[in-house]
Amino acid sequence: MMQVRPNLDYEGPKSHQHHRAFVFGFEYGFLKEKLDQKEAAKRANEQLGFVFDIGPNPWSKPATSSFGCKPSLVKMEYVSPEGLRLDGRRPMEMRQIRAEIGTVARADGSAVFEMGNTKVIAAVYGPREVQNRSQQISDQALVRCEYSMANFSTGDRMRKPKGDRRSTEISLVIRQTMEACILTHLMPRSQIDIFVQVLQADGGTRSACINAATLALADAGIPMRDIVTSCSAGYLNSTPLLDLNYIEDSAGGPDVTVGILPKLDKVTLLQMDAKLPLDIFENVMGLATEGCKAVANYIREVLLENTKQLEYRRGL
Amino acid sequence: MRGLQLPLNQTQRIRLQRALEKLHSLSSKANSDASVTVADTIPVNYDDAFLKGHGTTELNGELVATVCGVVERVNKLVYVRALRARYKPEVGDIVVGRVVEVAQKRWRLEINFSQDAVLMLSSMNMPDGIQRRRTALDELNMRSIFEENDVVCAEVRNFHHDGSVQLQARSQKYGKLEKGQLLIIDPYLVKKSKQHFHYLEQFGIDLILGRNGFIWVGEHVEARDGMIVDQANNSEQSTVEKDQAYTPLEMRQNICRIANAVRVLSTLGFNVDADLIIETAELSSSLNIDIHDMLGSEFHVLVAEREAERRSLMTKRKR
Repeated sequence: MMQVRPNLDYEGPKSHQHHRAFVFGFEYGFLKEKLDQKEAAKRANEQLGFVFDIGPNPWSKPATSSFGCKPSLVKMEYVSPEGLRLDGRRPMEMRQIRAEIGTVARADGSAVFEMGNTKVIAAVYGPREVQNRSQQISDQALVRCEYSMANFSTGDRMRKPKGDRRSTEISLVIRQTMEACILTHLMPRSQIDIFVQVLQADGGTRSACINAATLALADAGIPMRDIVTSCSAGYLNSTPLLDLNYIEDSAGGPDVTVGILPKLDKVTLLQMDAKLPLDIFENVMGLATEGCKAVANYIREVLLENTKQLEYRRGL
Repeated sequence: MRGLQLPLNQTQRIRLQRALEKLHSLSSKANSDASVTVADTIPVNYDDAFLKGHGTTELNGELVATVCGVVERVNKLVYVRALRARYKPEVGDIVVGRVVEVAQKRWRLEINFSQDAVLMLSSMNMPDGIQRRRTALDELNMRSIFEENDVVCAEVRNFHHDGSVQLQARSQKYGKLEKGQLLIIDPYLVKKSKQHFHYLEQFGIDLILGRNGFIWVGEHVEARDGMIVDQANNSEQSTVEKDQAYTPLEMRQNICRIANAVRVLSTLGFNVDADLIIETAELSSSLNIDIHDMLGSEFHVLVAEREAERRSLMTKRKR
């Protein structure tokens, strides 16, 4: 008799038997000694509030179920054996991106950038007279950046004081990234202010902010060497994943944020706060770079469309 | 769509779309490949010599745009005309600005440039119209001429070596603007023309189209153009003016109507010139549209349709 199996086009990661199913955010090594594994899994699931059917796994090719392996290898499943992520994407798929230019009426340049559920608004003011005379630079423009998260942007309404460590750090990162591409020497004794605010946070806010800031700067007619685009990639379940969302981001795995100048083919931003073997890191970074290029293509399309529209509406 | 956040109903949306499509088909520049974005390569004939203009840079032997805009070629010069950038002053431009600071022998004016412009006490006519050296007393009385937040009309005189701009107001037509509204629009919508001061007789209004995108709509002031005004007469007039410090209702309505016409045109992104402003204001009054309804979606759609028609007529006439 032929065995009927669900049709799996995608083989999934090679070692998928190992991390098929069942979540322990942390190891339950201490339970292993006292209880049998099934018991441990049940207990852990109860503690974490997950309801899982711990039956034999019909899809695993070897006869042993996922519990045949050591509990220390059992982790959250971020990529299903079908090769789909939690939100239904493939590992190398980005979330849907959308951009809109000219969203803040009184700003010199402004844009909204969305990556899936992450939504960011950016406004650029300047080049304008330097507010604090002592900061004036006689041969180039002063670039300032302020990043903030709206109170309603996250799931639980947080009341953070303005200028906490995280925002200060991201402000600095965005400022340095944008300063690298703005031709500041063309606007001496002036200042450019970039304000970015996260309206909805679902992972990858840093990248979204940089993309929004690029669009806003281009809208403000500020001369730039190249557009900067950014995208993140991670590594979970021994699979490189493009454009992590909040759940994947909070898994604690490596999260590589890359910012590139696509035309010049240069990297202006590279951040990772975890450890990765070098060969895997190269893979992950390559994936993020590909993501950046895809974003760049989209951003250019949006900018060109906007330019054409402005030109034909003005007429003559 | 940029700048257009109007609550449109279904028919209005379709009408607006159709009008804009018509405008798009009529435009010569938008259909060609002259539009570039940041880091686009500009096609040039590398065998011929060419000059890099504003908004371009050289990268690996290629000419690359640094701003979004339209490529313009003048003989050998290739440059990118940026849309939606801040104002770039040129000598002789008429600008409207707001006084930010009263400093030593000068006023600082905000003119939508990357730095504040400077109007020296010595480069403007005294209100009494006499040509003489400026004394220390004049310097002390500077606030009697312009104060902070006053709106001033002036002309670009020259540039300093550090890139800052100097203004002058050496004629009676320049100076402080009162009894009116200041509108701030994108500078690329104001085209350079012979005449930037307009007196709209049917409305009794002065319209100043500053090249920096600051537009003044105010009550008409007599004798501004007269270079030589009898001093006694002038002082007498000013006392009379002070007595009637209020503007009649009809005048205010006219000011608002013209101002709203400018607002409509700038949100639609159409070039703003005096003829078009008058036409738009007259359209609104002929259709009995209230002043506050001019900023509604229906009037925007009407103006867009009207503009599409006007431009198509113009292109037909050219052919």
